[in-house]
Amino acid sequence: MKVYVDSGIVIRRIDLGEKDRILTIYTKEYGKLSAVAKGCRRPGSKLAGPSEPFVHSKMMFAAGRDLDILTQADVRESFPNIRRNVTTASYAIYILELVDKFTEERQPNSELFDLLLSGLYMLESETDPELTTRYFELQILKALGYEPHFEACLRCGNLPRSGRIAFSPSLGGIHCCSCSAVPNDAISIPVALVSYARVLKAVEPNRVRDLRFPTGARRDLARVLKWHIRYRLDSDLKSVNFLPQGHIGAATQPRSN
Amino acid sequence: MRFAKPLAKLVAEFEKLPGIGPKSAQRLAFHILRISDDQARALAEAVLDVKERIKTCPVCFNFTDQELCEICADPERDHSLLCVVAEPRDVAAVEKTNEYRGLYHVLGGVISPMDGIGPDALRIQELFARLADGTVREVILATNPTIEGDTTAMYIAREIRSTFGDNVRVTRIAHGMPVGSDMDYADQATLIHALQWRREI
Repeated sequence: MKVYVDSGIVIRRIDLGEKDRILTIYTKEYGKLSAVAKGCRRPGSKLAGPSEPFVHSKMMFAAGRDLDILTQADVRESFPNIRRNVTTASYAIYILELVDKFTEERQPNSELFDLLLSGLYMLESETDPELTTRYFELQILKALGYEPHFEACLRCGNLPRSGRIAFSPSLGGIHCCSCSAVPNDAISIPVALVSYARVLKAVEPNRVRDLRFPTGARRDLARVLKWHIRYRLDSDLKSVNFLPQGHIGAATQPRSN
Repeated sequence: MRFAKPLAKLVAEFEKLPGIGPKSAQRLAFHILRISDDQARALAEAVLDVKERIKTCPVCFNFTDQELCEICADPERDHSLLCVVAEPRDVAAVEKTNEYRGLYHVLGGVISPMDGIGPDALRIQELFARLADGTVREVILATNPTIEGDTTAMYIAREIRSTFGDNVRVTRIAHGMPVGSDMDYADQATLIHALQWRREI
């Protein structure tokens, strides 16, 4: 495999030497890969635009000794609206970091590629960026087999009608608090939250814009997913602190917004 | 073969420099051995001198060997115009144009969520302290047109507007087609920008 072509989205980049960058790209056929974009930091470089984060291009790579080289790129979508706004840009960067942290190089997952692309299109088309991000979090967890369960208590199968239940990242879902000892990493959530979570898990991407979630549900869902993702990754994402509600759930005592 | 100790030490020091691998480090070290004592001393002194005498200007945070940098101390320059850049080398780039007669403010980086660099890590508070006395009428945001540079510019613009309202004009350097480039290879974002901000000629 000397030269190959694939659709890719730049998810991270670091400077290399004076003029180059190493790009981390999520591609449709090959999964995550690293490639050098030579000369992309020179003004007027043909690779300058395609080397920016979340730009989607058709790319041609040449297999190199250590790292592959990005030889050509034709931009398909550069998501100008995302870049125009600090808030959507922060959410988009968070989504990229999620993909980066959750994937290994050269593990193809075209479903994940499509999910990333539709997440970016949702942000681009001004769908509520917070709900888009929650949707994306749930879907990426689902695509990778880490899906949190909100159907019923994972120990006894019951779901109380009202009041509060627990969400436990180590259990991978909800616990009714009455059938057995509550796992010690559990956080308390209102029962009402499970229906919001289930809606967001099942909805089609183009319907997310029609959803209306109250502030409390948004806050609780953000917290639940943050804990779940932290448990799965064993680390915090750097960009999470830049989201407008990033500080929620950062401490064990949730603070109000 | 192992090098004699002083030579090995020099090679090891060169290797720490950016872009210098083990082979280049050896080549540089052997070159130093060949040059005259005076040349070698001049190099050593220049290295020590720059570390001793170069400080950051307390007003604009550019590098200087004076109390106040030459640009900030110059009464001929327009003190109502402030150009915000990411790094001291960007000051040099704008100065080279000989077009700009205002002052500068060096942020010391850009907001980069992916690297965990937030507004607090930059000299944004210092920028606001400079704006507080009302001398500056316009702030030009001259960060790179990358996602990090754009985010930094948008963040600062928003904060200035909410603090100073219409008292300070906030502008962003233009972006569009680079000189000597090819329309065919321009990316969508650049072309959209270039079309939106087209002007009459």
